[in-house]
Amino acid sequence: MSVTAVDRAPDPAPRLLAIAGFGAAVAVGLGVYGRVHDPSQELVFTLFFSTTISMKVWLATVALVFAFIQITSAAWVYGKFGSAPPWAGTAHRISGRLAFIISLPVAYHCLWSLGFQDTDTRVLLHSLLGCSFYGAFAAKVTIVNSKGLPGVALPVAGGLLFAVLIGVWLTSALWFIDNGGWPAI
Amino acid sequence: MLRGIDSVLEVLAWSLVVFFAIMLFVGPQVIAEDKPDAEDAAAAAKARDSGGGADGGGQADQAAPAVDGKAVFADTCGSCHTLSAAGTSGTTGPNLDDVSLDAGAIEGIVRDGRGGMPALGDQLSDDEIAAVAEFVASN
Repeated sequence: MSVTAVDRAPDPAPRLLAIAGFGAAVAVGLGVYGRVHDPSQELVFTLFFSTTISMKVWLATVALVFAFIQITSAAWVYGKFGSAPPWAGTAHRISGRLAFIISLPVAYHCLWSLGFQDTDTRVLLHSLLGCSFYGAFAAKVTIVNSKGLPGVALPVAGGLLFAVLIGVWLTSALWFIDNGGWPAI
Repeated sequence: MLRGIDSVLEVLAWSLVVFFAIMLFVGPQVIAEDKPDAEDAAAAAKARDSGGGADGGGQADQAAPAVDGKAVFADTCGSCHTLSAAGTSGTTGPNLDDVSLDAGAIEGIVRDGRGGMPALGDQLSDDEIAAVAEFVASN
């Protein structure tokens, strides 16, 4: 029996490439903004923290904690820890949204006040990873809202997002804590 | 319950994205427009305080020294001190993001040194010391 063109599932490769391109465009856009605009070098806000640096270190760390909850709950939903309860999916989404929301003031200060810098390897790596984080986030959200993509696409996108966030934290908050200890809240 | 929280967070997340995206473009312009005015006002006040008197009042803006405290800090202090506002990450001396001193105290430390920090009174002019102290104190 022959398979007609109507029966075949559309090739997902072009869509995946388009989504990857969209994520890359977001990352590059942020990098270009950070590079071309004149960094204010002003400390914009501290929210309820004592200093801007303290705010950034603590919020980045809390975002990382939510990211760990994300990856754990995702594994649970995928059945890696046995059968997941009905609320696991919602909890997964909530932890992701919280991680994203918490990252925004940190990223805003980085981009607006400091810009894209390459003064040394760590700073360059942090700038690249910071921009890549939002590109990976944009790609993942697009995949979540897309249908007909390979089942492996979402875990790969989520894993990439998680890995990039780890890199962002290692090159910023951990570096700061390693040099000066935990900042006072 | 969880679904309700999720829905609220979804709206909040996208609202914040829009807000910060707008602020990336509006924020710098607002500050760029405000900053010179504030600097001019401070410079004019300093000129008046330094003896401009009734006759010198009109020349205050011309007489005010245009020393960029941030640039002085980055050139002279940044290799040893971390200060986000200056984009520096030196680790030899204290992290100035965690230090809260007034400009007068900072000026004294810059001029005379403290602990392992060398005195910079002979290296920097009075205007440079005042500018860098004001910059550090305000950040």
